[in-house]
Amino acid sequence: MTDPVQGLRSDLTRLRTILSRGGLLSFSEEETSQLLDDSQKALQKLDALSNGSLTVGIIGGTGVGKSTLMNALAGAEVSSTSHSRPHTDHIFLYHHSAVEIPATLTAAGVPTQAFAHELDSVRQVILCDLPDIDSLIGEHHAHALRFMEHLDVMVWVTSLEKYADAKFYEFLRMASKAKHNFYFVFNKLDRLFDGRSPDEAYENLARATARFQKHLEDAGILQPVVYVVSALQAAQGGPAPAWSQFAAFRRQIFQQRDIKEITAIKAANLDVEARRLAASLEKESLCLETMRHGLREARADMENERKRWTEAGAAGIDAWVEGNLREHIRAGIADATPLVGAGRGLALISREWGKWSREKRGSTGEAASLLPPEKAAAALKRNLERLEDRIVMHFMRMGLQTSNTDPMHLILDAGEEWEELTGRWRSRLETRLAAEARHSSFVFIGIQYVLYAALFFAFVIALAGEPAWSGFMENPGRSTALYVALAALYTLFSPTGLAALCTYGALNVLLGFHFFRRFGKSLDRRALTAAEAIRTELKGVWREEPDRVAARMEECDKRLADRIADLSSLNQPTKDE
Amino acid sequence: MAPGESNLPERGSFPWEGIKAPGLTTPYSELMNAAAQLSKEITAYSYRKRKAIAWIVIMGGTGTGKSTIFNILCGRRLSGSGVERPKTCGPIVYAHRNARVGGGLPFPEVRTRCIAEDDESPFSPHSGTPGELLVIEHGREEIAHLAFVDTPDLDSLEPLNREMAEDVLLLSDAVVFVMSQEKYADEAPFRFLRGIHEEEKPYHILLNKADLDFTRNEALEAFRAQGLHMGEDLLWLLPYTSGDPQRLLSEYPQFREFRRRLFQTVSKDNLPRFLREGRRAATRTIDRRIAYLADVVRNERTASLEWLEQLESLAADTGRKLLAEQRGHFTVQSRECLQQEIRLLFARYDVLARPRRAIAEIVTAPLRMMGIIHGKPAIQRQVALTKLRRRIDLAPLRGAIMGFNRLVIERLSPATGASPLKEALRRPGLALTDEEIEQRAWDEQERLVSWLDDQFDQLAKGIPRSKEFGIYSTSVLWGILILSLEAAIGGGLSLIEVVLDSAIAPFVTKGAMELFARAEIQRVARELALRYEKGLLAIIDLQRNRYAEVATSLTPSPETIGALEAMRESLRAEGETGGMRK
Repeated sequence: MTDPVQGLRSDLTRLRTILSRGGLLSFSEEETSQLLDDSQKALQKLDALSNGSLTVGIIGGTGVGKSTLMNALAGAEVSSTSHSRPHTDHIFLYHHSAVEIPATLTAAGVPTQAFAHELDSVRQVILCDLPDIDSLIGEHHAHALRFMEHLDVMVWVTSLEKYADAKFYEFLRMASKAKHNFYFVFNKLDRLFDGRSPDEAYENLARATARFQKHLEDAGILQPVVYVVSALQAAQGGPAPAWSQFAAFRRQIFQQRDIKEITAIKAANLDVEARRLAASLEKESLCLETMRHGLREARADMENERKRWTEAGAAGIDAWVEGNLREHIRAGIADATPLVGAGRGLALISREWGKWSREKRGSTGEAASLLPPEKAAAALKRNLERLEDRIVMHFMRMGLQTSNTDPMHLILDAGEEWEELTGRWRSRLETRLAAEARHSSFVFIGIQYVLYAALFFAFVIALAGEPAWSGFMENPGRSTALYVALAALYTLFSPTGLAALCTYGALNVLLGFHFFRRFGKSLDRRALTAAEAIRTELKGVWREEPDRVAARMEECDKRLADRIADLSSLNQPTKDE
Repeated sequence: MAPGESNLPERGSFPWEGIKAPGLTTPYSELMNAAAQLSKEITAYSYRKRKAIAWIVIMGGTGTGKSTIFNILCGRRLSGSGVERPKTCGPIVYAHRNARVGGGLPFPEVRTRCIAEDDESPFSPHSGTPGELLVIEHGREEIAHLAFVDTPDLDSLEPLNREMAEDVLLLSDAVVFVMSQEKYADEAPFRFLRGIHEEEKPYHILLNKADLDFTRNEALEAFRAQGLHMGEDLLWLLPYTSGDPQRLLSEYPQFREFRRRLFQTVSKDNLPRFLREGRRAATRTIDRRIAYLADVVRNERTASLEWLEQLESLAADTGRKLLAEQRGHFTVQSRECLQQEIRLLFARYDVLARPRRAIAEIVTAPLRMMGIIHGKPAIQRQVALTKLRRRIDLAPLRGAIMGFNRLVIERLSPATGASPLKEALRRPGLALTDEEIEQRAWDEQERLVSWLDDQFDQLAKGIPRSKEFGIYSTSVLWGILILSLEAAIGGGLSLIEVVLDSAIAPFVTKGAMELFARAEIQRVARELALRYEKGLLAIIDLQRNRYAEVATSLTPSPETIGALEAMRESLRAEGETGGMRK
């Protein structure tokens, strides 16, 4: 068995960690700081555990004889310093002159008055006389209540007249101390014997005591220790009546205790105090459970909505692809044109024309067209907003208030999520477009070069004319080659040459048109397939969205579960480790 | 008005019965408690008015000796006393049998048991039963005009006892408050004493079991320190007695003096005046309570109306946002449907429809053959409508309503406490479901279309067919209409429309335009847009109305406040006549 004190300390420290971590849902600032205060005090008391003195408090209503009991307990030495209560809201402390009063008692925010005595037999004990708990002066019971936490042993005093008062039991319930540190004194029972036969008196005594014990048991004190006394008679000295248990009571209170016993008494009280603090966090547990429940419902609702989500997304993405995306893809891959010669010229002209017409229409720039057009974007974004609203509604219907600090806020914020989603879309699009632009078209380029070259070759042959060529063929040499060149030049500046040049040019343009159209068609084809692929990809990203939200819900749920586990571990007794 | 009768309402017809409140200013439970208390007080008051006897109620903390005092005052050992606390569990009434006090007691939840006291044989003491009122009937003429009540304690751990004592207190004409030296400074009984003092009930305090050195001033000082100033002669000190307190006390001079004073004030001669004064004090108390209740109800009503205003502005905001987003939201599909509608309607009056169609056929035939355009089959109205329904985009509307619901709960729901409004707002089924929204939207659409039908029917009837230009104007009608519709709601023309427009363009003369109400068609187009917006708002309004209904059902009506004020009036009148009668 580990040291119970150590266990308590770790419990309290854990409690403080949870409290100071913040983000508690069901506690106000004041409540939290109150709990922190309380736990701090408990920790301090834990530190002062081995302090040798025992604080015994006498607590009860007006006129039940607390002071008389005090005098009777303390005996002559103390009663010489006896008091006539000038301030009934003060707490009277009786201590041995050699024993220092612990600072916590005087600093408890309650006025105190100390009386020192020299009685060595009771030097361990500091007796405290508390103000009335049922007084019509509210300050009195406030003081009594505040001072109660500093007591180690509580002596509850009541009388024949007051033992059924609601106030007594109300206070009893408010005392968070170990129940076996409670002693009950049933005072003023001598009155039963006044003017009555002893038989009758004894019967009344038995009946009243039994009733008192029953009331105590009903209030949750199992097997209460009740001492039947007459404090007045005891204080006056003289022979104690046979029924009086005052002597036993006195022995019980003033018995010599070793340090271990005192520590055990105090530790038991602190244990109860720690349990109380931990139990007060139950509210938080419940709140967290409700939140988890709301989370589960929100998740189920989202799963139900999935079909609609997918459909709505498909419609929006279709509108986007049809709207400006396909055009954009086509423009994107058209930039890296594999056209050469006249075809390239045509492509350039068409691009400039396109640019000019776009500018004239005032359409948006390049970067913006990676985003859905305004209308499609609004439709898509609306789905996110709707999802957020639905999730929030689930929590709010359960009476949970949302704030920026709680974990569920992290699940979905439509605005941020939209930025995120479009970011992912854009990166996918960019990768895809880059891949498309890398399309290799060497064959196409090769064919173009070959055909243009052939045309040029034919042109040159045609220019030089048959005689020059046949001369060159018969006698290949430098002079004949020069002749061919000169013949070509000669023809070029003749009407025939002009016709050939025109024909050549026309053929070139025709070829260019052919390639431009062919390229345009292939562009269309590629843009179409690319757009389809992109469409699928975009829809895929859209479909992933609920999964991402679900993952965040999962994470949030886990965090809540962790917190609950954290809280419930506080309520587990740690002693039996 | 017969003596003993009152014009105050009876239990079952109080204006606050079944009263609803949103719980915005005062916790609803507080209101209910105040109302329940008031019901009790008024029934008790009516009961007291019917019986011309004085109720002397003995109250105090447990163990102070109430039963002993009761027994002495009655002159019999009726109520048990002893060391077990609490002793007396239910009220015990000692009254003349002719007074029939057991009849119509104003506590519906309390059983009444009557037993007759046998004057001859000794009577065994009772200690009452929880939840039961025991009436012991006697035949003693000298105290026939009095009823003595021994009540359970005010301060014990049995809360039912306190409630019973509270109930009985309502009947009392005079209170004998029993205290003891131990208990005079206790908080719980003192609260009652203060209440009795404030209600101006005649009372005497018996401070029982006093030590010899205890003085009256000590107690009076303690009371005064709490702000309770009372006549010194109301406090009687009774000594602690050992042995049989009943016998010893009854011989104690102070007690005899007290008894003499008490019986003097309620003597048969003095009784009518005494009762009248008591009743007048009671009406004052009731009046105060009604005034409080009326205040609470009035505040609740004001808060509720403010709440409704906030709801209104929230709905208006939602509507404004939706419309801003939807401005010109005749989607391609809905415009298509409307154009189809216009076409179908005017085809009936369009003498040039056939030639125009022929022109269109001829113009477009080569294009069709080349596969450049596809022939559009004419869509039937119903088909167009269902198609539209399938494709109409309700997401913005659904989103707006969802956002509205969220705002209502976020901003307008009372945050804390168990307020009825808070619970009502979270009731399932209050928010429109998607299906409901869809259904509503379709209904609105249908209404819009049938309205359009009517408009065109009327327009067509108004066309002066006899006139020369009329024929032309009918034929150009839809051309204009489309143009003005486009102008009103934006959008572009399709190729087919351009072709058809060009075909009819020669007929569009200035004369035809002037002749035929161009303004009319523009009006139709504008109103169409307006109605479309209204249709959207109607659905938001529907949701708002659901919330408003909930809030209104929880709003106290001005009639309730009026009834409360009327009650105060009649109460005041009654207090005055009560004083003047006899």
